[in-house]
Amino acid sequence: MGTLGLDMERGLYLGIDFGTTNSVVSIYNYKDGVAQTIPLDGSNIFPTAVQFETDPEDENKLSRIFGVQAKEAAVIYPLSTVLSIKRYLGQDEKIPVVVDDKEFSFAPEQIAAEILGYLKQRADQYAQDELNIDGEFSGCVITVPANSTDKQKSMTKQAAILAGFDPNSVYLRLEPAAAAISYAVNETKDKTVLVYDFGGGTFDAAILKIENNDDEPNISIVSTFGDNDLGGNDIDKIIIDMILEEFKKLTDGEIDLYNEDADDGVSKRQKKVAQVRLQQVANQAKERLSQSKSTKIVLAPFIQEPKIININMEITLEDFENYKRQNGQGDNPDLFEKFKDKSLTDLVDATLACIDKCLEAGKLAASDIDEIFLVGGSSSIPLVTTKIAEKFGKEPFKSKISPALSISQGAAYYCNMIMMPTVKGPTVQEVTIHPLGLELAGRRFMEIVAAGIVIPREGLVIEAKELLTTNHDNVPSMAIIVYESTEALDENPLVSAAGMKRLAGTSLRGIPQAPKGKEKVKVIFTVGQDNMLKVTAKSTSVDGLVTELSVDDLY
Amino acid sequence: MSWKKYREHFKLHRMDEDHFVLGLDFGNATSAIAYFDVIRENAEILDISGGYGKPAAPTALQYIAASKEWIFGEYAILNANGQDSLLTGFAENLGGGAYLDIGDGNRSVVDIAAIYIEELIANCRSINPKAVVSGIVAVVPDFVASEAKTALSAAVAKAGYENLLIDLVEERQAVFAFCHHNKIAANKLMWLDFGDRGLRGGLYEIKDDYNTIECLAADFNEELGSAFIDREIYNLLAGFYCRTQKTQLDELSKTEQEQILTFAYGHKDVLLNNDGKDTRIYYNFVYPPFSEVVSASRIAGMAWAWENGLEDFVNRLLGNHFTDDITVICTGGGFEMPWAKKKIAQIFDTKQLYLQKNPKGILAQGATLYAAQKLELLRSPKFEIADGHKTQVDIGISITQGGKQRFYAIIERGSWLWQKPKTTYIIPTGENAEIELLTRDETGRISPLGIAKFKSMPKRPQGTTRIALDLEPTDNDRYTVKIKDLGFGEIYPATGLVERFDMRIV
Repeated sequence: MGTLGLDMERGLYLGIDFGTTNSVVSIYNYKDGVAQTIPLDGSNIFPTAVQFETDPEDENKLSRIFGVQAKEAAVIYPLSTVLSIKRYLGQDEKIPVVVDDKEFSFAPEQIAAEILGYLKQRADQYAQDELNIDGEFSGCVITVPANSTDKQKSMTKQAAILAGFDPNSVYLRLEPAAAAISYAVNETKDKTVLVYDFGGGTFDAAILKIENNDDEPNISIVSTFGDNDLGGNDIDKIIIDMILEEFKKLTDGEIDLYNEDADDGVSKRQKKVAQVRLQQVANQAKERLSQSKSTKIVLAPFIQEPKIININMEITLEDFENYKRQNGQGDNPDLFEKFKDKSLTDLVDATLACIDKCLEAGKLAASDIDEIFLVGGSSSIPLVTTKIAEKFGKEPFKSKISPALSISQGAAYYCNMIMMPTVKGPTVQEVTIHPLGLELAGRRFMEIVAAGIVIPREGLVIEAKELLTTNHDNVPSMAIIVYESTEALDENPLVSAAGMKRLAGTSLRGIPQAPKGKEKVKVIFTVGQDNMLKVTAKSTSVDGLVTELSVDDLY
Repeated sequence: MSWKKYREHFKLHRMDEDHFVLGLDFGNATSAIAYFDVIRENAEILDISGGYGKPAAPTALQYIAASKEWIFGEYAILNANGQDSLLTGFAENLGGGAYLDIGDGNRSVVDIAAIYIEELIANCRSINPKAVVSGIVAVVPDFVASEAKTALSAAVAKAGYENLLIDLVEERQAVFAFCHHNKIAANKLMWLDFGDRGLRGGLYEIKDDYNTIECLAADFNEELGSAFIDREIYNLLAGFYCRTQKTQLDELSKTEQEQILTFAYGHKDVLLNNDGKDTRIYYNFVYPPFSEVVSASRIAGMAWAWENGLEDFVNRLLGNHFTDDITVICTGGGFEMPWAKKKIAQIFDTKQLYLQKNPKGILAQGATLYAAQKLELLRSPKFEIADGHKTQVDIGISITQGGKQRFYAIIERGSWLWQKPKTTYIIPTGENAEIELLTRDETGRISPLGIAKFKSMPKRPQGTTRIALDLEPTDNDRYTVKIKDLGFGEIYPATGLVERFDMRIV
């Protein structure tokens, strides 16, 4: 039996791939020297879902059901089940939950914490029962999309803390880097690889260099580019749309399933049930179309009131690849605009466009890429392999383990680096992903942290080469506006250029009033290994006049 | 290509990590593939489940006649719709010359196995596009007939690998290769295999670091296969369905049966792994959907019979041997179930147990390690196995075929003593309706074993008595022979006469 035979130098850590649709947890098994995925409720892949119900022993309390049972409960109890919570991390709106006609609301990180807490509890139990480990997982490495905002990262971290992990032992690492580790552990050759990570909610492209020093692979991130609103869920919506069009034909367009207040004879609850059924049947159809040329959709009956509507249709792979989405399906208008008239082929092309940006940011050509690794459930779609092969002239790799498990297992290797820093193994050179800087007068961008700078374990501290000066006479404050460029910089970049993202803005107040240019402010950027940014602005003339902030505080 | 030539070829071309000799465990319920990682010098299981994160893929195919498409593995089961052919459990039919109806005609089991193996290996190749499959070593149970072994080789060849090294390795040899490589040191090794069709085990004395191995005991119990759990879960879930839909089990349509089969397959893990708690399951494939609670005691009840059976089984294997100096290795997908793990851990000290996370993968890993040993990439002991629990000769009868007398084997040489051959039906052509049992040794020499005949039998014309013949080994040189009169149609009705004989090989 595999046991973690060594005393941990820094406690016991769990590697968590907290996905939009599914989550996976892994640990590093010292005896066998490999990362090992922990099966939860009998499966390596755990649906990221929670359902609330009234506690049978106390009607004022809620009890929770997680995973497969929760995901399936969504059909019968759509109002008390929360799916795809990762998509809400980074937003301030509360998540409404209705249980037995009582309304509750939760912050997104609370819901995420509930699920992470369950993952922790089951992993603790597995470690004790199956691996003979005393104690529990006090720390974790949670992976986040390469292009997540600081606020998303911060809320993910907060959720892990709420779930019971030690606040000082929660590490965030980038998903593609984690995936790359699980590939790199067996590599003996130096390579430049592209990780194509198409998950349930997000897409990330990341280019990494794998170099072998002293027989141990060292991974460094060259560039990343992604889309936080492009994932398998959006592909499911294309199939939902095809079914909706069939439904519209059968009902002469008289029923709007996504307008719950419309007076069309279908109850709000029945509409919710229909939405969840559509979601589940579309997801199954997508998986089947990864293997076959057509699939049947049978929803009989789909709704019973005001009349019985049966759906019985066939979707071919060709239809699936070319159908263009027509219906909003309850998405906010901005988001729908992005996907309107877009087909699966268009969405896969959008991932290729991200790859182009990623190559550009890394100053590389497609021919510089030695290997391409596919990660994430959505990368199983055959069109992805076809398009990648066309673009790079070579077939992509899937994982030797599984595209679904590689991120979590990579996180487990990270755990090993944290738990046992003195033990040899693969290492990841954490580097800054994108150039970071400030806005200057004339909308100019001053780069303070360049992309690709190695982040030491204790964090990267860089002071702006120039001091900021006041632009007008007698101003008592100075604006500090932080930008990130997701694309390669021009020679004289402006903050209005394509790819510039305004991360945060604040003011340093209390500056002595003086003629313009006299007062100077020193700015320091500190980047942690989790790529989170802290900005410190100090007056050079007044001792103690400092503003220090994490970027996510400023949203 | 022989191992010798292959070894030379391997050295000459300096094959690296992209050249694989795959170890294939083509099982009746699930199949697994492993490869030898030349860098880490270890056998790795490939996840061929298509993203499901399970190293073993169900041995299942679905054939869609309309588009002439084959759907492989887990998808085949999840895609079952009652209309297209779902093929499962075909591995055990290899060697029988059987054909299966696939909807638009019949295909031989060898053809179907070949399609499955081709898909299986294609899945591996899609994981690493640079992979060159250099050879395949398939594990076979050590009890199957030679026809089944030939059929498996034929299926691998038909899958497109006819020019590559193909070897078959007995399951226990794969287990020994695995144990030796993983330094599972033991004076005595008990191997328990919890497969789909039964629980199989052997107790072996390991001598001289696996150079010689003596089989001390071997047994099989077909009642204790994991298929019974699948059946129980299906019946339980179908029962709920019938109650809600106000129908009966025997009235379910093929579509309903396959929907419930898929539902049972999808819920097996959660039902068996819910930590002793009640489990609510949701019938979302019907409208209106409904939910049912499966009580923990119901699940525990399913496990109870197996748990007791295991204890008896282990005790029989142990005989007079002490448990203290025995190491136990568990293989087969059945040992992934938590209650099976728990029960075996109650019988043996955990230090004695080798129960890895993927017990199903061990045979495939063993096969690829066996290949690595043959290729001299790993040190290889001789693995000479002395079997005291196998038949030493063929046992059979003489039959007339095409005007010539020939020996017909009822029990093949090398069969396990626990293997009970199927009943043989014979119409003796002699006047006295007697059956002469014969033995045939490894040189082909045929010797008499004994004559089975009824003490008193009504007079019938020659060739009008049909006899059921059963042979059962009682020791490695003793057999119980049972004959039963079945009569001959309505004119000569069966008398019900039964005679038993104790025959011994001299």
